[in-house]
Amino acid sequence: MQLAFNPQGLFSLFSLLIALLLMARAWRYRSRPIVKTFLVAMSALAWWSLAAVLERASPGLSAKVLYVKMSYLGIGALPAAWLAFTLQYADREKRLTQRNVAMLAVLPFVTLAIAWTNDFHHLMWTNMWLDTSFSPPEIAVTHNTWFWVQALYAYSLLLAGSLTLLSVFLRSSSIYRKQVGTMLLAAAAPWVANFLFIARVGPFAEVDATPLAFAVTGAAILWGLSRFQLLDIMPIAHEAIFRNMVDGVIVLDTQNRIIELNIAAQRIVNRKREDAIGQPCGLLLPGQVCMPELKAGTAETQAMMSLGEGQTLRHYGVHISPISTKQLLGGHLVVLRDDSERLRAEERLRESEEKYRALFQDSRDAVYITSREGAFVDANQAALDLFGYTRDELIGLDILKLYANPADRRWFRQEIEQQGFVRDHVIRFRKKDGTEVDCLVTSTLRRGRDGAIMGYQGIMRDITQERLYHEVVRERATLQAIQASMAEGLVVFGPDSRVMYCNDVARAFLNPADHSSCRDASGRRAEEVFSPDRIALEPREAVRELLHFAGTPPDTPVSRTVTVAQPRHIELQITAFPITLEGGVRLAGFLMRDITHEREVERRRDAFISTASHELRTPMTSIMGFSELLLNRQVPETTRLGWAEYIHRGSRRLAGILDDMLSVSCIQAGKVALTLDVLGLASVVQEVIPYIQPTTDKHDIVVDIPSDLPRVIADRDKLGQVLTNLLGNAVKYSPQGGQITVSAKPDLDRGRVVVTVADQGIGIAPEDQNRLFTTFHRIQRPETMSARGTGLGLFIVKSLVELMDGEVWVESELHRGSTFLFSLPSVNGHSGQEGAAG
Amino acid sequence: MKILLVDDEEDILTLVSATLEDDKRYQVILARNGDEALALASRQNPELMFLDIRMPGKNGWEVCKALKEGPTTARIKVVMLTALIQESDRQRAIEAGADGYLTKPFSPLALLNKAEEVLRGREL
Repeated sequence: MQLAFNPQGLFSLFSLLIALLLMARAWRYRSRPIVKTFLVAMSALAWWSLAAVLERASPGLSAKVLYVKMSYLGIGALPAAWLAFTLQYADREKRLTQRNVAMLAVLPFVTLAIAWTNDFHHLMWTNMWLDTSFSPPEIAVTHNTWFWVQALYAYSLLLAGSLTLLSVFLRSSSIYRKQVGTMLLAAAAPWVANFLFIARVGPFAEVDATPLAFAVTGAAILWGLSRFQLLDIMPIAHEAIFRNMVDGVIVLDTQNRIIELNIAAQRIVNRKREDAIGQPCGLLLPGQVCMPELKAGTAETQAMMSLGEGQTLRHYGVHISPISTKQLLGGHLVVLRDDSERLRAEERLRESEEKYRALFQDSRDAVYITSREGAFVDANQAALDLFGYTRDELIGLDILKLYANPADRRWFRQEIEQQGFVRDHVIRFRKKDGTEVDCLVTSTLRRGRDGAIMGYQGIMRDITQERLYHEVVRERATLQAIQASMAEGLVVFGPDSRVMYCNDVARAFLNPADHSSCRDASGRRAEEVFSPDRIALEPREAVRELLHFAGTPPDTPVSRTVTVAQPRHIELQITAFPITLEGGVRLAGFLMRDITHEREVERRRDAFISTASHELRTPMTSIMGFSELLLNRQVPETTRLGWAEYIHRGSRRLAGILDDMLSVSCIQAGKVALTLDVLGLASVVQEVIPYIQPTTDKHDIVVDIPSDLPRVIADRDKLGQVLTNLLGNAVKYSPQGGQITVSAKPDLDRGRVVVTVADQGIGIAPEDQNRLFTTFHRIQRPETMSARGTGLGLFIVKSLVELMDGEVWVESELHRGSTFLFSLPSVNGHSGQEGAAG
Repeated sequence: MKILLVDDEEDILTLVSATLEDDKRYQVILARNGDEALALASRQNPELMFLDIRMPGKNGWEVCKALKEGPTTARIKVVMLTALIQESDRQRAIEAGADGYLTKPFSPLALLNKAEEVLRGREL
């Protein structure tokens, strides 16, 4: 192959090399669509150039024709690729639909097909020959119709591309014009070259420089690519950004006139672009934005601006920066950011924060935040009050210093780190002044956005008082239980002499008709409680004194005895005593004791002493009197013996009384010694009668004991004493005389003998029968006044019978006589012994 | 001078009358209960009465009171002769109008002195 070095061949070779170089250079940007198009265009150029080089290098016509035909692959593709490139550059990519691309490709493919089939129809070239006038010889052609169709198509596409670029140039802001201008120049090169070729002007008359021109175009684009970051930042993209920015952007010149503004800015100033451009800034924006210092235009400025009213009121953050590029001297870029939503959100946030702040500050519980190490980060007023520190003292203080027990702190940290919280745990803290408080603590971990533990936050409440309260309540419950269990009534009066407390016993004493709880008495005045009329309280003087004590507690306990007559007779000993509380408050306590029974016993003892005294003094009078007379007088023998008899009888009476008193004393001391025997009852009765019968001549003592009566088990002396007492009483209380019957019968079922002593005397009223057998009791009736007695007899009878495992009871009717009965254990099966006994 | 002696105890009646009758000025009249005493007092019109308190029927205080309220018997001197030694009993006797109070047991000499003393007081 002989390579022909004519200018055409050199141009083609050069253009091929440049195309390849540009492809290599743009290769790394291939991921971008626009660069892909660029690479397609350069490939087409390279193909065209390669075909041209090969055609030049081939000597034969057939080879040259082949390469010419081949070159049309590139010639057809290049204008289409160029148009696509300019459209992409102008951000009109949307027009490059697949259909449009296909339509663009149709004609080049048809051309290609016609070129290759030219031999059959010569639509492209009518004639192709080797022009040997050149050395080396060159191919010469005469063009037919389709060649001109193809040329027209190619020029149309090139023109469209160039116009596209021109439109971009015209609407580009000045800073981008250089870039677009470069592009335009690049696009112009093929035009010039082609024009020169077709017009056959100068040295290009014979040489088609079109491929080289495209190479120049490519080189210019690539230069622009590196010089103006042509492919990095496309002015159109910039414009798109500028236009579509959410923020309003206004460009001001040095005279503060608007030279550009985006859609958002148009909306903000409510002007169309045409109406806004050229207007002074102050006409459209508030004065403070278009400040005089803007003219100086050196530093960036931030400002706030509000536009509109009421519902349309909006707030903008204004960012003003000076423009200082070589292309645009002076002027400012004003960016308006609509901050209304942000401000509203901030306002909401602030309100919310204030709300929680108030919650935090005003909480009555202590709320605090500590670091993980335990240093206080924040604490509310309640927390400060709780610990007794000022804010400055507490913030930064290690919470460990507040723990009364450091072990609690270790437990707390362990628990919260493991569980994430501590709930309702009681921890004792030490306040600044050293006093200790029990706090109920609930705490949780405080985490950062990344989840790391930042510290603890907690809420605590001083429950010292509550604890004390509960202790007091417990103590109080105990006290109440004690007071409720007391046999004594207890009433406590407050300083206003109103009832503060009263137990049920007291209520029952003072208000027997009211069965409601004692608590209902609380708050009642002392006068209501001690109402003399309602419960017939006596004596009035004592009641008056007690009422005084209810309001003014006595210094030392003072006792008064009062009687309540309604609804039943009780005697109360009321002791008023002072109760001094902490703080010097004095209350009056009234302790009430029911002394009815004690008083009854006392009265009976008094009656006994009185009776015993009387009973002792009467025989003593005989003894003393008659003995004195005997000593001092000379009297006849009969008188003397009579007096001696009186002395003797008196002595016997004294001895009997002393015996009774001794018996009672022994019985009460439990020191009665029994000597149990199996006895025949009749014999014991027969022993007793001789002591009784002589004391009376009005009575007839009849013994009615069956001969087969079982023998009894008893102490002979004590049984005798029982019978003596009963027979003595029978005589004493049947002063009109009559028959006294001593009888007995067996109670075989129970293995006993029942002994009966019946008289026909004054009898005993049913209401008196109950108390008959008690100590010192004597029935106080006119009929009994004359009867001598200490009131010990029946007590002795009852005690002795019961000691011998028997029972005693009475059957009597007033004025119809009395029958005393007692039982004794008997030996069953043993009978018929009575006659032998005695 | 008539002295009325009232007691339900036979021993005491014997002792007091034996004591008083030793003095020949005194004429002793006996009564065994209150009603009998009041009847004898108005009928016999004694100067002095020795009166027991504990008796069947009317007791001594009642008898004394009735006596001192009766227009013809009020002038009769009354000396209580009783085994009741408590102050309240004595007080009751004074309230009933008794002129003297002598407790059992007593010395016969003291009884005579008492009678003398009370009767002389009347003469003053």
